[in-house]
Amino acid sequence: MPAIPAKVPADWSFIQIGTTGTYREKSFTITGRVRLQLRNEYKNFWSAVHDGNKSLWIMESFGSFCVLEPRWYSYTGDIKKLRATHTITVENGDTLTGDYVDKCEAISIEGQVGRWPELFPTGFFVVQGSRDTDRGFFTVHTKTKIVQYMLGKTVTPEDLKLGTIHEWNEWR
Amino acid sequence: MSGMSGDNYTINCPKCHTSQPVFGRAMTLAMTCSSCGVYFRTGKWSNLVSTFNATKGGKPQSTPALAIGSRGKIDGTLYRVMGFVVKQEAQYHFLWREYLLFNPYKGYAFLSESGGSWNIIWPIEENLSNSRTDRQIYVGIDRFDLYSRSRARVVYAQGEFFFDVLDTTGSTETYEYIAPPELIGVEESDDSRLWFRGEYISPKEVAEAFQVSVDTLPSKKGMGYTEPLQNRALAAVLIPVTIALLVIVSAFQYVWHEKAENKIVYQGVLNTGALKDQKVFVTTPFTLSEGKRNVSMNLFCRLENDWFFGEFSLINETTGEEFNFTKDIEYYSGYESEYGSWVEGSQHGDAFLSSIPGGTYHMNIYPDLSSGKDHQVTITVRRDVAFMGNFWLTVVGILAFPTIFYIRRYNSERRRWEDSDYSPYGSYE
Repeated sequence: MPAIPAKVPADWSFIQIGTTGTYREKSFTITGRVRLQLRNEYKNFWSAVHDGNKSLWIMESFGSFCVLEPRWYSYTGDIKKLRATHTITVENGDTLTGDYVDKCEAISIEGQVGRWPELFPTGFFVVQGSRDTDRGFFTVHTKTKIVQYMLGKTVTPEDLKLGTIHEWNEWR
Repeated sequence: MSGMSGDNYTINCPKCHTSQPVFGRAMTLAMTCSSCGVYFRTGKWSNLVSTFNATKGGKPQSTPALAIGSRGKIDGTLYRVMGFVVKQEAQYHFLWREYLLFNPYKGYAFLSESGGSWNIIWPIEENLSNSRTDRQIYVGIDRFDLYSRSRARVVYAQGEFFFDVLDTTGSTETYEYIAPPELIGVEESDDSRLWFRGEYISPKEVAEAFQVSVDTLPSKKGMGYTEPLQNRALAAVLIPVTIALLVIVSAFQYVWHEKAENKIVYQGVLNTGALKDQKVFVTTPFTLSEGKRNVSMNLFCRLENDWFFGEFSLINETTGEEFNFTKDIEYYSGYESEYGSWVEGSQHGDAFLSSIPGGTYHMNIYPDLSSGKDHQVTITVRRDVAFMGNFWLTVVGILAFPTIFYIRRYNSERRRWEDSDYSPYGSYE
């Protein structure tokens, strides 16, 4: 029986479905999100319609933003190298060094989101790698040995020129 | 669109089952019970409950100076105090305190306090590994020096946390590099590497930000490791200003030296043996050029374990005005088996008279001699000599303040590094 995505829990996100913005001089609109609850963090993957009918992901956590191209690559390298401080080479030839490894304990989804393979079951690991502003986000299913990843770059909220965001009264 | 946080986001304490409001909502992953004080993880994947051994009678080991839930604006960002921890360094066992701050638009930050000195610390996106050496990190042209490499554990916690602060603290090794008032650091473990940057913030700024009295903050002990030295603006301009003054004074000295007449107006020999019963030796007349300028007199006598003393009167033959002065020279030498050869004194002597009017002069010399010896004393009188004494006095005066200033700064820098294993000033033991 397929798992049913959990309802997104209440948090302090100021991005919401309907938030608009600009990336590479083309506008986008947020249509939904996938929220990963990690053991020591959370990751919101905001799904957006960009430049008319293209899609992209905006990975966000505690004021940190990264725009990911909506293409999933398969990682065929040594899975043991997917850990903090270790360096690997990715699809486009860039090298990324692991920032952290954490276990995903819960997934929740709201709205309409882009393609996200191998969401269930939970219990997979996520790995983030970086080099300068380059980022790679990996999902590692240890049982099936399936590792897939997206590539992107860090941005600031100001870069994205976000509009229609949630204004929290407590921080006015 | 706006909203309030009062969504009744609660969780029950796994120990005393008291319902706990969770301000951080789903972002909060660990917290302490406001009723029984235990630390627990909010996630379903962990039912561990931790207590703090040092906590006695339910009273906190350390009361936070900034209350959980209080708000303060730092660098234009309004933060809420979410959690408070007391950490203990593993090797030397010193304690410090950290406050977890949160703003939904900016993320989280930490206020760290040790010995009454504070730093505001933010996680950063940059990966600085490529600019990192054993003892330094370069950020642009700024060099940060390794100050500490440590492991720690949490000995007390209160409030809410966005990560398992007990687990992450215990499993990471922290490197801190400083370029006061800034710092760069990295927390490394098998699972993560988190870079952060921070800067010193004064107790007064902390008190103003959170609208508390500075007297309620921990009293300051010693110098904070990122605390900026005082008079930074003065330090920045002192060397250029000193160099400029030295150049100006040197230029004046050069011009004066070039313009100086430096003319020998009299040279003669006083043969003391020829004086016989005479008490005074009178020079031939000599002329000093117009204007009030200096006159120098040099004496030379081949003394050997002997001395010469003279009273001198420079007399203007037209006006009769006298300028009196004395001068002595003495010279001793010898040999001792233990110390070898030694010399004391000089066979030369100089006298200097300033502001002597021009005119025709002669000099009366009343010599006093060691008995029984004859001496030939060569006397040379010069007009308008470029005298270096005032120049060197001025140079010493100009250099005195910067020298004292930088010695004090050096000593302050040494004190900053006293608690570091990586002091550039060597061991303090």
